[in-house]
Amino acid sequence: MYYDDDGGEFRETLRAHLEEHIEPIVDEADREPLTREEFLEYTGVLRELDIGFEPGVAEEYFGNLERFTIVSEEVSRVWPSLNVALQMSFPSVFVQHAADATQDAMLEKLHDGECIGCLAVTEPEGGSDTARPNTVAYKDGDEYVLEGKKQWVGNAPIADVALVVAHDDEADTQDMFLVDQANSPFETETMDKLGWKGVNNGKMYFDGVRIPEDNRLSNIVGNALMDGADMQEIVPFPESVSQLFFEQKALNATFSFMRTGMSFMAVGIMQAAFEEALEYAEERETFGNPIGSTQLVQEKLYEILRDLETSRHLSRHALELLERGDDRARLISSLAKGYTAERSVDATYNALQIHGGEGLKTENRLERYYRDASVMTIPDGTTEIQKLIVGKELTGMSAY
Amino acid sequence: MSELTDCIEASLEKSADELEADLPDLLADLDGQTREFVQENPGLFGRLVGRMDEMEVAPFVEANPQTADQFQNFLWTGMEVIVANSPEVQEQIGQDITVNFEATDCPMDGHMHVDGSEKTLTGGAGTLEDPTLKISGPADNLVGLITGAIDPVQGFMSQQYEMDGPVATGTQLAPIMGSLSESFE
Repeated sequence: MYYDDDGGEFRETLRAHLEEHIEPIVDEADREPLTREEFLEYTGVLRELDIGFEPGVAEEYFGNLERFTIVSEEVSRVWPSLNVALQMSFPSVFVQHAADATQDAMLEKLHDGECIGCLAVTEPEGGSDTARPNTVAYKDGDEYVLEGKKQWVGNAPIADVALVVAHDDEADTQDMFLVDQANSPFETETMDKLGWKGVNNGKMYFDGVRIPEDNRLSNIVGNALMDGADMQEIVPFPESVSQLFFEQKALNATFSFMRTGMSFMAVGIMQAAFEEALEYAEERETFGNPIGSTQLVQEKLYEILRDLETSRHLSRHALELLERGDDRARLISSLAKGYTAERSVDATYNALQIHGGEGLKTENRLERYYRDASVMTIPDGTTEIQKLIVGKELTGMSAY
Repeated sequence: MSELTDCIEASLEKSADELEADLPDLLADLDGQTREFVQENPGLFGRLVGRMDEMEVAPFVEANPQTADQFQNFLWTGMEVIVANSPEVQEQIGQDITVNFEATDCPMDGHMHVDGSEKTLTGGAGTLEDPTLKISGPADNLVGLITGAIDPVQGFMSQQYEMDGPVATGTQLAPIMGSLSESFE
């Protein structure tokens, strides 16, 4: 088994660090979307343990799958929004190989851990149909001109750089384009939502936004390769995931990586809910006895633990396949994301039920766990989309 | 050679369909003389290759099976000469790489051999045994990849072609192909 192969030392260090710095502030901090200053403050806590996207650190974080999934699980156990906000900042790594103007504006920030990134995929008209973006990049001289709208983009309103999926009009294919706020300003609008309240999700408007041609992702990668960089220096994924880029569509390999992280995120939320539910069941007394002594509460604890442990093991299986660059990584990561997200809703619901009326209070974390779990079933592909991906991987026939 | 050059010049002035009709005879005439032709007329080679991007390769190969090998040998011999005369491309060559190209929509197979120590690139029709990489896709896209009509990174990311083999070697190939197409643009 690859997981926790350092004997759990990193996990313990991270857990203690989160308990000291994040746990005391999470209830208040998660009420509103993170401001830029708050994002930098809280991700700064994680940077102290080499978790982030500045050069030299990104390889430790994204380049080490076990470490990445432990971070996903443990940070989500305390504050899922922080995990999402941090992960969604990953496009900032492309600044290192971007056009000169973008490097001039952003490279120092990136090195200081202060370059916030976002990934703009979903469109108002597109929803789950991400393969055919309506956002278009037109070539005009040595620039691209972006036209289109995006929504549900994590970090968009506070981002320095955005990696935008768009149709490349000239090449007649899909590509991604790195847009930096300093040279190519874009409009954003914060969106309110059910859970993950701390994540500053937003709408993005690209109305003739001009970007240098060297900021097309194909050119970023191509130019970096021409300069002698290897793939891990450009995209800090482990080699096994880079290999999947070869065998599967690049965006699919990226989703396999992200969905495995999401599965561990669901495990983290369930772990937190389980711990609170068990503690409450032992302490809370009704009819003169702890509620944990009743059969129905014990059944609920059984169900929460069952959902937690089956999710944990399926997530570890997805991690193992990703580690190996196995062909089934896409299949199992989709299965794991779909399954664990749904189980996290069930588990947090059961934990909330054990708390009774206490679980409904907004000062109580149970309602946040339930809201955060409810969001898990939508991003990075809804549960329904995960089912269709699994179906396609199994049969070779696409139903979407 | 000058007569052949004149013929090619004249064909290049024609429509895409007319050029395609001329191509089997031109390739037959060039057979065995491609190296000399490209050495003397690198610009003309570039123009001819550029016009080939307008063609639908698979129907052409289906209609002219005897020409398919000549077509590939012409392309690869030209590329070999360009690399020999281009320090920029040679600079990108760092290791030995062998590649098989397999068209998925017509009977066209080819190969390429990058020699890291000699800084050369050779290729031709037919496949090699046990290549480092295998590239497959529609014939148009494979030819576009060789001629520079398809960006190697974007083409890969958008699945215009597929590549099997070690990722580290595959990423070494992209800058070679990129600088190759730049050198005759």
